[in-house]
Amino acid sequence: MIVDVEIPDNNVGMESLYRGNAQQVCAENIKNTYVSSIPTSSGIKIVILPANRGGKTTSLHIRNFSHEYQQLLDKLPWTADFFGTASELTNVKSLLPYYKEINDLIKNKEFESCDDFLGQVRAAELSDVLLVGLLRLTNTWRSELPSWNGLLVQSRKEIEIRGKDSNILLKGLT
Amino acid sequence: MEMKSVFDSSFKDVEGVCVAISRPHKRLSQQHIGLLYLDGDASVQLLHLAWHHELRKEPPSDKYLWQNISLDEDNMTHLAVICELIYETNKSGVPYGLCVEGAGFAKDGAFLAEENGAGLTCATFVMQILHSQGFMIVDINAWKHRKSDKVWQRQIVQNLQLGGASQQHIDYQLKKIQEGAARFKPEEVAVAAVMPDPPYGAEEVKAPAARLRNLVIDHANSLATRLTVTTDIC
Repeated sequence: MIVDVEIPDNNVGMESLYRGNAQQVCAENIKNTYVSSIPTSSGIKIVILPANRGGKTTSLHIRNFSHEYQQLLDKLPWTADFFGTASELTNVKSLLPYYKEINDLIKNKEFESCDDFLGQVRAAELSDVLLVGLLRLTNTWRSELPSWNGLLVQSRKEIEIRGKDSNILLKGLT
Repeated sequence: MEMKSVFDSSFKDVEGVCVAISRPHKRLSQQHIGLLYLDGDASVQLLHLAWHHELRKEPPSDKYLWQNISLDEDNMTHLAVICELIYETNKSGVPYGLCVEGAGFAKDGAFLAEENGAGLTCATFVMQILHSQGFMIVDINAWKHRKSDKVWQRQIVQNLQLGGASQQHIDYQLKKIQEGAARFKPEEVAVAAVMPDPPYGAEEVKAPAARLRNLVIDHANSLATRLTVTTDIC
């Protein structure tokens, strides 16, 4: 499940709480799977996105709200699930549906949508496989995808943070 | 080079992605190659280009020797997903062709042919899957046509004709033979995929490929012997 938090400009205290990388909050027994905007008394807009894991302990990925992100979720609904589970996508079964979605974008030459998606990816939220997989899957069209190089830089850094050799893992991509 | 077989290992122990090589017919001097990987149901599958427009995904037979590709765990999982994608994206098959130039896979797993008639062999199929993902195992420029390639290539064209390939497809293959298309043998591609620091040229893989070929022949003989013994007992 992803919770997007929109921080009003005048809410300095809350903004500092949510600034920076996505933070994870545990929530138990979240049973409803839905996409919804919840206005709160403090004026903070929370967008809850589907997790499909009702009844289990769930990680909440909190992002700074942006219109680009909301537009992406509207245009490509599968990205909501992707961003909610990206850190757990580690095997063929769980990865294949998303690889197919990305492939469809490429096959249909929807480079702008694909770039919007890559632009919203946070390497810190990706599983180890996705850190290399997203870049390899989209490498051929990197010239059409302005966000590709940014993801490469992010992924390289994140791989090193995780104690792995980025030169080995990203071999053939640079 | 260490290769695994049913005599000392089990397909159940396969992890990641492996090259698998066999001699399908004991009397024919010809090897066959494919990729072994775990599919979405964690079942071991062999993805291989069996023949013209015959792309197959099936459980491997005892005929195969196999070894892990020289990749880290994360890239191997990515490659296993790509194997699934390639099978699903090319269910109508991949053409069999003698020249690797102008034939390969896009990152989305779809077979790409720059010209009508372009296709892949079982060996270049494996090679191009890996190359499509940035895993360069063979230095194509360091691979020249050998005189002996022509004999094999003409046999393939005959078989394509017998199998009913279109005249246009046949003509394209003949043109490529004339131009001196290089052959990438299954054992050469297999060693290039498992050796530690690819890409490799033809000369670099010559000796290990010859050793692997002998291992494959020995394995085929061992299987035949086991089959004979089993039949005798029965």
